[in-house]
This record gives sequence, structure tokens and C-alpha cells, in this order.
Amino acid sequence: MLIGYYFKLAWLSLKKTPLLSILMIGTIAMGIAATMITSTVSIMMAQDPLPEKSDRVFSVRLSSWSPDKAYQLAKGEEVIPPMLTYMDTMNLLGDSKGLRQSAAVMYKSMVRSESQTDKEAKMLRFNSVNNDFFAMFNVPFLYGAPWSDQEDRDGAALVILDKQTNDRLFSGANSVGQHLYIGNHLARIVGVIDSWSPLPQVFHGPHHAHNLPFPLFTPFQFQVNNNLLSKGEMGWQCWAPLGDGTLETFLASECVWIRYWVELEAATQRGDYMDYINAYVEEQKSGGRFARENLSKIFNITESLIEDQVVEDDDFIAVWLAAAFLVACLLNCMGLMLIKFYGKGAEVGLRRAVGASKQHIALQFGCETVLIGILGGFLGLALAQLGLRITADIFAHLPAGLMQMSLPLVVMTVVLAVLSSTLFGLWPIYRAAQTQPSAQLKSL
Amino acid sequence: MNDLKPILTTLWRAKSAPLLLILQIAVTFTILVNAVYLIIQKEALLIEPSGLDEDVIFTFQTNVQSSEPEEMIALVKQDLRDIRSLSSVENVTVMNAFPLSDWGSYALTGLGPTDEDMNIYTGYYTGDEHAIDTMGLELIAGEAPTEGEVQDSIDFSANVTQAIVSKGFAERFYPDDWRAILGTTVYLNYEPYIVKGVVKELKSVWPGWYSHANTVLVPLRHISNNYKVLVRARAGDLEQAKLQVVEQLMKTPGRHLDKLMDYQQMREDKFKSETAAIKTLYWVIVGLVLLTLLGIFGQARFTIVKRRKQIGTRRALGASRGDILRYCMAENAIVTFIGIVLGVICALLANVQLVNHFDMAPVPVIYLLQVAGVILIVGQLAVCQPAWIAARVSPALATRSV
Repeated sequence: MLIGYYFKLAWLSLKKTPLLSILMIGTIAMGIAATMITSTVSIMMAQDPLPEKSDRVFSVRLSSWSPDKAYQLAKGEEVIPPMLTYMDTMNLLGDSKGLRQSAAVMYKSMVRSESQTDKEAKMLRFNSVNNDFFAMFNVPFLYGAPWSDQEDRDGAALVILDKQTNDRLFSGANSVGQHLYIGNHLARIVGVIDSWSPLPQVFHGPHHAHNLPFPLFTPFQFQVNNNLLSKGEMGWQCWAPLGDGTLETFLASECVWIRYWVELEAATQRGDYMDYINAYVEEQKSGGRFARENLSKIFNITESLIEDQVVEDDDFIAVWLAAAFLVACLLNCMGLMLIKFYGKGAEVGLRRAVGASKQHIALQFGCETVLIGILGGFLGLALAQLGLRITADIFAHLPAGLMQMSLPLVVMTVVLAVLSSTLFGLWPIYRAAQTQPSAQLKSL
Repeated sequence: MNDLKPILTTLWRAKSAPLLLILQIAVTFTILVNAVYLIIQKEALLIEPSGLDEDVIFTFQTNVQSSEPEEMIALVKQDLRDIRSLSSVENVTVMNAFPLSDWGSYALTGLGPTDEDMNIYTGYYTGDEHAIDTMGLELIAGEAPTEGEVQDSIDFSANVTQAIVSKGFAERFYPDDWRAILGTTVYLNYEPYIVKGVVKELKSVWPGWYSHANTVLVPLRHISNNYKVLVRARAGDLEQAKLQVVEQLMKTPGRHLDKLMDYQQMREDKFKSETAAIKTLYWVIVGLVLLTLLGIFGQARFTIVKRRKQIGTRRALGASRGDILRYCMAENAIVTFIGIVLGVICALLANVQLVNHFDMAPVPVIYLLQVAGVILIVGQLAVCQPAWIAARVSPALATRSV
């Protein structure tokens, strides 16, 4: 087997021209690193946040908008609101047609533990959800568990906090059974969740897709009962003027402000659930609501990411730029290889003269190219890790989880380097194999 | 340029190395043009004025210690009076949203109440009689609302019949003479409003939005359990004003403040992803320019090594060092130029893709020319050293073994 010998030759040849070799490996590494950094961020931004059930967890959207006007138009198509009214939310929750269902709204309030003074309270953001939410989105619990169905309906003053808040307020101890003040409501802690950062975060819509989750969870009905609406910050839209500013008026209005999620037992039940939604819309139509054409839809997680345009154009542009950058690097490297192999003309001539075929020559230089690719790949990997660190600093507003390479991406990095350098090495190899033995021997 | 013909002939004879360089330059050019263009577009967003006197303004949100509408309104008015009486504060207003903040409202607008008329969304602000002065907006027509004309509203529940509009808004509906909008009725969300005044500039909350320059300001004191305040400090007293306001408000038991931010922080917050993208693009440009330098340098070294004998011969036949230097520089310029021509084609094609897929405006020709100039200069710089080496080749070389 000559391959081992050829790799040895390649190694020696790289050592013979250190500057040229460093340039070649360096340019490949740079291009690979740039491509992998942007791809990582972009892939992570658009990844599936709930891979085991993203095809059976749905965002429910109803055509409840004004009879006079579409909610929005996009490319000439009518778009329906991504949120539901309180009435519809309560009706759907009451029917409980899915395996699990939950509303999702954000609000904010001042929070302090019982031992803290008013001055020490902090303004924190809440996820207002139903108790099914935790199982639906696979939220891991460190202590305790979600509240019961009865407490969910009653809107009991209960709260679940994340690990960080628990560390801050209770030094990480099991705080289940303790109390927090939410504004001036005393809420009992029923659970503490473990580290959890779903990326992207779908349940509050695109605006919060790349934020870290809000630290606290309370029952949806608790928010409503106590009028904990943060209208200055949550998304809400109305198509009819609100009479007065009271909570009752708002809850009975056609204003949309609640994102509604449902999990089905299997993706195949999608049709059945859609039939139920359509029947519900018909029923409401006969009651004088839903004056528009029924365009109600359910979007599974993958579809809602696309529908809500969670992935930004900039990410795609960045990947394309990086890929073009890689091509420029490879072209540069190809030029360097041409130079390098040209310089070895005499050696080739000699080998050809003593009986090596063109294939042998091609194989020898092929090995050298592959070696350059492998080295470039590993160096590129190191650069990419470094680059991701820097990226994480520059993009400090994004969760750090976006900036971590998964194992497949690591493998892909090296494979891409070897493949692309070999592809771009073909021409220099071909040229080297064409060397005429006689011409080279003459000048020796 | 009597060198031109031999250069072209030589390039044609040994195509592969220059061809690679040409391709590399073309790709580089494509990326550079589009990267520069992206940077300029994003930077334009960053420095676009909001219409406010940003260096003396800060904002915050705070709660009302009551849930009774009458009492809420009284409390908010008292808060505003307290803040206005502080020595470092010039003025204060309560609004529903702030330009460049993260959250705001829009209204469907038109000149008539029917669906056909209502065809554009505009940014919707509410503010009291101090809003225009506090923001430092320039009223260029009409008049600002007086205290009696401002209504109190809990969660947008009042019924207002007048509005101030931005000049952008006026020009949108009266392109020939924006002043004509004064006194006319415009419809916001199907409700009629009489236009009382026009301000020179007030941007919406969403930079980059198609309707960013069109806004309305409605005389409402918008109050909710968490209302938003905009404070104008006296010149140079911004930090002190922040401290004084916090101190004043915190005297009330049960008071909470959130998102206390001046405009510098707001801008940073709003444009963090743009800023990050710009930084990244700068790195891309630096990397590319270095790469091109290296590529051209390597190629030039290579060709000179190959041609040492030729150069020696030329020198022996009477070519001066300057001639050789000129020859090398000219050759590089020609290769770079061909690369740029190819690059212009690629850049335009790539840009068409950007325009189609990402709704961006096409690249102005001036950028193409500028980037072309930069690449030519980089190329000439890179070839300097190898060309110098070439010029130093001794004529005696030609006389050695052939």
C-alpha cells in the first residue's frame, strides 16, 4: 500500500515549505471557520425547539377579526391574528379537545420574597400559562410539580420559578411551600424548574423567540382574576373601540391577546382537531361572531416558526456571505497549490522517468491535498470555536446556546474542509500529473 | 503601454494561475460590494434621527398605586407635577410608547372612513399637552393642544377628535402641499380626527418599517397600571435629573420603576443586533482584503520565480529595472481589472438575489467603483515586493546555463 507512504511524503513536503503550507492551511481554516460560525448560529436559530413532538404541538389561530377588514395582508393573502380573544381561549380550554392545551401570555409585576422589603422587590416578567404547559413543552422540574387542574381553573395564587430566581431568593434550596409577593398578592411556590432554555422559544411568538424564557410562571386564570395585564408591553390588538377601560370590558371584547397551544396525541389527529375548530367557528358564527370567511388554521411548531418569520433574513445573508468567503479562500488555496506542485516539477519528472504512472502522481498529490484539507479542517474547527466565543460576546443579547456547535456540526466542519479542498485540488493535481518527464530531467 | 501586448500574450499562454486569481478577485469583489452595502444600510438605520432631542431625554415606566380610574388619574397628574418641579427637570409628559423603544401602537389611517380610503398604517402616539415640548419636536404648522384639550384615558378608552401629525404623514396624503392637511379630517382606525398641527419629524417605534416617518400624536394622557413617562432634563443635567426623579418617585410607598433608560441606552438596546452584524461584516471585510493581498502576493512571487531567466535575458538585452517593475505592476493591474469586471457581473447578480429575497434596495453604482478602486490599490500594494525582487534579478543570470 502506497497510501501510507504518500501521506508520509505529503507530511515531509508540507514541512519543506512551511510558509506556503501555513498559508494554504490557514486560508482553508479561515473560510471553513467563517462558514461554520454563521451556519451554526443560523441553524441554531432555526432549529426545532421540541424535536420529539414538534409535529403534534400546534398554535391555534382563529379568524375572529373585524367583518370590515382583514387583520393583515401579506403578499395579497389575508393573514389571521396569531392570538385569540379571551372568550375563545376559555371556550377551547373548557372543551379540552387536545391531549394538552395551554394559553400563553406574558405580563410583568414586582416580585419579592416574604423576607424582603418593598424596596428590594424586582420587576420581573411572567409566563401566564395553564398547567398543561409544562408537560407540553417538556419543562424540567428541579423541585415540585405543576399545579392541579382544579387550581388551574380557580386561578389559585401559585407560582413556579426558574432556577436562577430560586438561587437568588432562596440560595438554591427547595423553596416549594414558601411564598412570593407578586405585586401585593401572596403566591405559594409549587415548583422550581431546572435550567431550561428552549431555542427558539415559540410560545410567546416571534418577538421573544430568541430571548431567554421569563423567570416565573403563574396560572393563566390567576393573571386574569387579578387584572395583571401589562398592556404597555404585551401584544394585544383590537378592531373595535373599547368602551371603558375596565377589565370586564376587555375580557368580553373581540381584542386578541392570548397565544393558544394544543398538543395532540399524534400528528394524524390534526384533521380531527381542525374539524372541531371549524365546528366551533360555525357555532360562534350562528351566535353572531366570526363575521369573516373562516380561515382558521393550526400551525405545528415547525410551521409557526416559518409563519412567524422567526428566522431573520440577516442570518441567511450571513451564511451566503460566509459561503462565498469560503469559495474565495479555496480559490486562493488552489492558486497556492498550483505554485507548490509546480515547484515539485523536477521530483515529478524524476518519478515519471523511473516508471511512475500519471495515476501514481495524482494519488501522491491527492494525499497531500487531503492532508492539507484535514489540517485546515481541524484548524478551522479551532478557529470556529474561538469565533463562536467572540460571536457570543458580540451578540451578547442572544442566548449563549445559539453559539454552541453540536457534534454533527463538528464532524461536518472537518468533512467540508476535506471535501472542498480536494475538489479545489483537482486542477492542480491534474496539472502536476501532466508534467513531462523529459522536460524536467533536462534541467536537473 | 508597449508592454500591453506581451503581457496579454503571456497571460493567454499560461492561463491557469491568472485565471484562479481572476476568479478569486471576482468572488472577493462580490462579497465586498455586498458587505459594504449591508454595512451602509444598517448604519443608516443606526444614525437616523427620531425627531427627539435625544441627548436630554430619558424615559421610564412606573405603576399607579390605585386601581380606581379617578384616583389613578389624580395620582398620575400629581406625579407629573412633582417631577416637573424638580430643579434639573425641564419638562415631563406621559405617553403610550416612545420612538425607538421596543413596543408601540399603530393605527390604520386614511382620508376617509371606508376601507378603500384606509390604506396605510401609521405609528400612533398619545401624549399630554407637554408632549411636544418635552420631546423637543419642532411644530412647523398649526398649534399644539392646550391643557383643556387633553383627555385622560385608562387603556386608550377616551374619545379624542384631534391629532398632531408628522410632516411625513402630511406629505403622504398631500404630496404637493403638506400644509393643506391642517384643519382637515383624517381617519384613524375608522374614527375621524381633525389635524391641528404638523411636527417636522417624529419617527415611529419601528426603524426600517415602510411607514416609519408617518406618525400621529393624539392628545391623550394614557394611563394604565404601568404608565410610561418621558422626562426632559435641563441641558447637561441628564444624570442628575435621573437621580432626582428616582428619589422623588420612591418617596411614594409601593412605587416601582422599570426600564429607566436614556436615549443612548435605548438606541443601543434597539439596534444591538444591527450593531453586532456591522461588527461581523467589518471582520469579513478585513479578512477578505488580507486574503486578496496574500493571494496576489503568492501568485506574483510564483510567476517571478518561474520567469527569473526571462527577466535576466530582458535585462541583459537592455531593459532597465524600471521597465521590469512597470511590467509586473501592469500585469497585475490587468489581471485585477479582468477580475473586477467579472466581479461587477457577479456582484450585480448576487445583489439581484438579495433584492428579490430580502427586499433590499439595489446597490448604487458608486459603491462598485469605490470597491473596484480599493481592490486595484490592494493588488498593486501586494505586487510591490515581488516586482521589486524581479527588478533586482541580475542580467548575468541570462548568461548562465540554459
